Amino acid sequence: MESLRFRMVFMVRSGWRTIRNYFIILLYFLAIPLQGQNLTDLLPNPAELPGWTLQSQTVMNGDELYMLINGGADIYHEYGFSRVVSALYSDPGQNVIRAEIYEMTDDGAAYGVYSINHLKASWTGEFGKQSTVTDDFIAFWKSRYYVILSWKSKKNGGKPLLGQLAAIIDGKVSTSGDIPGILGLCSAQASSSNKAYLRGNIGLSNFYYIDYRNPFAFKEAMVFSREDYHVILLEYTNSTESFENMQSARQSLSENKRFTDLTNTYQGFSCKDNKGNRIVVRQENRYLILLVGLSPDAPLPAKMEEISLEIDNLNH
Amino acid sequence: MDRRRFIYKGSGLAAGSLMLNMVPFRLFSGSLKPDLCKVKSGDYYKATRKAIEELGGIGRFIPAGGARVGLLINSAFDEPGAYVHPDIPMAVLYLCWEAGASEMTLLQPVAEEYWKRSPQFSKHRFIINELKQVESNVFPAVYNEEDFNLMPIIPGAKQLKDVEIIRKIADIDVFINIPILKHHASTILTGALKNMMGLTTRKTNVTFHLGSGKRNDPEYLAQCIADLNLVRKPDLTVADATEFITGNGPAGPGPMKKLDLVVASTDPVAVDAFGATCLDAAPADILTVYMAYEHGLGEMNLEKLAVAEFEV
Repeated sequence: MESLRFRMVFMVRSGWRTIRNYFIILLYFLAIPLQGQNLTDLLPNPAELPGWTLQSQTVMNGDELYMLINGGADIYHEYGFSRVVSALYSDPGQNVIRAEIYEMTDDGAAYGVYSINHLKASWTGEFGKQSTVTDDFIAFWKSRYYVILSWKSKKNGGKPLLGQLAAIIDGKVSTSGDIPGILGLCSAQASSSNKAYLRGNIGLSNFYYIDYRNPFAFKEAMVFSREDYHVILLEYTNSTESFENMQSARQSLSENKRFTDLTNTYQGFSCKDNKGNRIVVRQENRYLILLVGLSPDAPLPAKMEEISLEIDNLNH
Repeated sequence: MDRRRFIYKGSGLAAGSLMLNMVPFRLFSGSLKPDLCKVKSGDYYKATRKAIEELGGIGRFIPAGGARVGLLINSAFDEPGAYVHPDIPMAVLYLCWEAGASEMTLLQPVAEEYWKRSPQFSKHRFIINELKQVESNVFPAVYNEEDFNLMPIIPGAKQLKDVEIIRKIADIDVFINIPILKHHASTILTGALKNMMGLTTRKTNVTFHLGSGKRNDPEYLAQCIADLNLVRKPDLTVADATEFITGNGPAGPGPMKKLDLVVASTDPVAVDAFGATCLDAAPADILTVYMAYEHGLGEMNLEKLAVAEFEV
């Protein structure tokens, strides 16, 4: 009897172990897509680039990025960086191309780092989801990857060669990628303007410098420029959080000598920066809208009404 | 008359720098020297010579009888606007050679490919071939006892400690810093003050970014840079503001701005304060400038500086 009981317990336990093992295996296979594609597989192989040799390739993970980038690694980490492959291709004519593929933590991070790095450039759909193409470099993002190809040494090459390389990498990234939801806002106001997506204060400081301390304490934002004003849209989890952060930012700016003429306005405040530019801040549901006038004639009140109305309509 | 007021009166006199060229600035050739000298020209070699000349000439820095000169040149980037135009250090090297420098050392190695970007290369090859270099101080530099010294403490430093810095910095008579004034994603501006990170190992530099225990801590990074500048103040800073990236820095590629200016000064804080304005920022916006100013390393208030402007 004792033996039978033991066998039954054993069978139940081993059954659980089997289920657990299957579950672990299942988790493993589920996790593979989360890690993305093998980075080095995204690089063109020698057969795809006749006459060119892969001179070197280096893969770096996490904080190792500081060992690859001679300054500027922080912004990648702010967005969410996983790993990078950096490769050099050379030809007999002493042309050398540097190819860098950054695997970010998600599509939004890849779009973010692309958009802030190339905000002022002209964007096309030639490569990846969006790309910047010049004689000297090609940059694009697709899925969770940010790709930049440039000449380390250019003796007689040109844009077509960089384009060939970009097309190969583009073709190897199997998924397309989605942009963060906040970028769907202000479509009318931002028409024909590139929009950058931000995840922290380094990104914001690269667009418009407020303070190194991130006084608005935001985690997601969208920015774009029109001829005579900047738009900064900060997103929070709810209206209480956006209101509280606006209040603390107001306090912070009132103590900052760079900002003057601080006055209360409808659902917000306004002030002037040290260049005399007018800044208007308004809370609209879970968003804070910041407009920075770049000329005295900038139509800030009208634009603020338009953006507020669009956000307000989202909630009805 | 107070010399600064005089210069500013001079600046006010002239609607442009050309006027300044002609009117009062010869007066500086005596004991009166500007704090910062800006020269505008499409010829960067000539502009560099002029900037140093108006600062008092290379003889102000390299005494007769020779001196051991160390030069730190921001050359290790590939994208235009991210590295110093080679005509600028080439002009400095020539002046040092002409002044009879007994030894010239590149504190960070400079690739021959870099020098070849200048049409002046062949004419200066004889100097370049004689340069010494701290060969192991190449990115990402790793500590070795022969070339690096471990400084556990920097007197006056607020954050930085255990610094692995090249030994040569303590073994030169004249230190010339040659940065480019350009954009940097974390510090907004990288110029004279941040270029000093070219003297330390990568391990030390990474602590500037991660040493506070949290990521993206610009205050800590700036403080470390200011602290590092306490180790040795450059005798002369010659900065490239000719054409530089205003975004996607420090490596680029990024949007470019062309000012065609070469800037020279004995004050690295003043150079970077001016650099802030090149990026349409105020000097106080740049934490490295503010913290270096707080350390007493120089003047960040441009209104308090005697600034000379020329066009050649």
